[in-house]
Amino acid sequence: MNMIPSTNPEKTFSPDALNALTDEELDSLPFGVVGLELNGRIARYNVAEARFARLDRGRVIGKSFFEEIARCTAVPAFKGNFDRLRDDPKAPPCQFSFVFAFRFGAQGVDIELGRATRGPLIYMTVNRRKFLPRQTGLSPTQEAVPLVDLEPEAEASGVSRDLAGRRKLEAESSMLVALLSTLRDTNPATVHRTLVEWGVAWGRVVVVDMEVDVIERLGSTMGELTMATAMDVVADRLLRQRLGRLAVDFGHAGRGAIVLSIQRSVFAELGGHAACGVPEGLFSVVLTHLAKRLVAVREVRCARLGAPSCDFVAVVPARVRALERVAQGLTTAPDAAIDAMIAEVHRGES
Amino acid sequence: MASRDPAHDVNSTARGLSIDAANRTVNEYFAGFDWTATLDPTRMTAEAFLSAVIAPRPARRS
Repeated sequence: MNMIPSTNPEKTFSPDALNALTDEELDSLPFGVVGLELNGRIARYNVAEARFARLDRGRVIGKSFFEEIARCTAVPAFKGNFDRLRDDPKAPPCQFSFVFAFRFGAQGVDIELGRATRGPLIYMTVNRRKFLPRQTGLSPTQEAVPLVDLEPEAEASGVSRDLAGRRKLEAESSMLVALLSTLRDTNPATVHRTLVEWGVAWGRVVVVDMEVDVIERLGSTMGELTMATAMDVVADRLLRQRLGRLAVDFGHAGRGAIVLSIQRSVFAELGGHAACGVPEGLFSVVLTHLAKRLVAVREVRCARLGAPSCDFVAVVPARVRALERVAQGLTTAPDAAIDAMIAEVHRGES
Repeated sequence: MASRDPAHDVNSTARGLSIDAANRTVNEYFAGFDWTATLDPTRMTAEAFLSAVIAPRPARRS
């Protein structure tokens, strides 16, 4: 059993603030958010909640939260609070603790529930507090629905899922090669920028997923892990997906930079150096999340051009232009790139 | 700088960290990380110094 800290950094719960967020913004939150219509049907369901509940968002949207998905919540201690908000638009938000009964284990959660004043949705935030063994003595209908029950035809249709309920993809690498070459051919001038954006978008999901994974397995947030462990978590993720082996060198911290290197990067090997925009975007988001400030990442040396690994330098955005200028050939060793970048910044040209 | 732990330099993901830094939490480490280290305001114009230490905010996505 793990006691975990709240992952909701917001001190105050505001249904209207949640209502104003785009789906993409809801997905960047490391705690569960569910938007319910007044009839209890699920209208919004963010990535963190899907990951914690091991459900596919596409399978739960439009379903009744109390009757078809989280059946364990159809009790007065939970649904009574929802009914009060449904019946009285002016009822204030409420907070309470609850235990979600999943087949794979129970979760002690803190719930915040409130009705948006602009729009017909009741918002729920879910902060996981404890992970517990599966509750005994419950009938299957008293437990939250498992994903397999929502898609009984899945296996026959070739759908495969991992333990977290995410659909697995075992693609031939030729698919990635074809995608990258199509991007390059359709707009060669912007392909790198597009791939950075791809990496950023992917990174937003990855950081939430890493937080959920760390909370489940280690009982803490990423920020509470030691540096050594946190970097292993990030590297292990890349390694397990066969994307390459990551090393992070903090020996340049005295010069305000961090060097990340990928050996045998799938992006460089299959897509050429433009495809290294994907890890650039990904690392930017991951480091920004961990450092709690904007961090930009640029490749300074690419394995595709003969280097032993793809090397990236992380700096504050204000130094990026200087870094790009000194390493535009993608053949500069990180140490030399950082030296040259600092000299460039000192010349006041950035 | 404090001595480095070879275990964190050879086979570990995080390299170049002192023993102390390797065992610090992510929050603690980055709270003390000086992203503008080596900037010397006496050698720069005020404009260049300010542009180097004040990170531009990204455009908000719709």
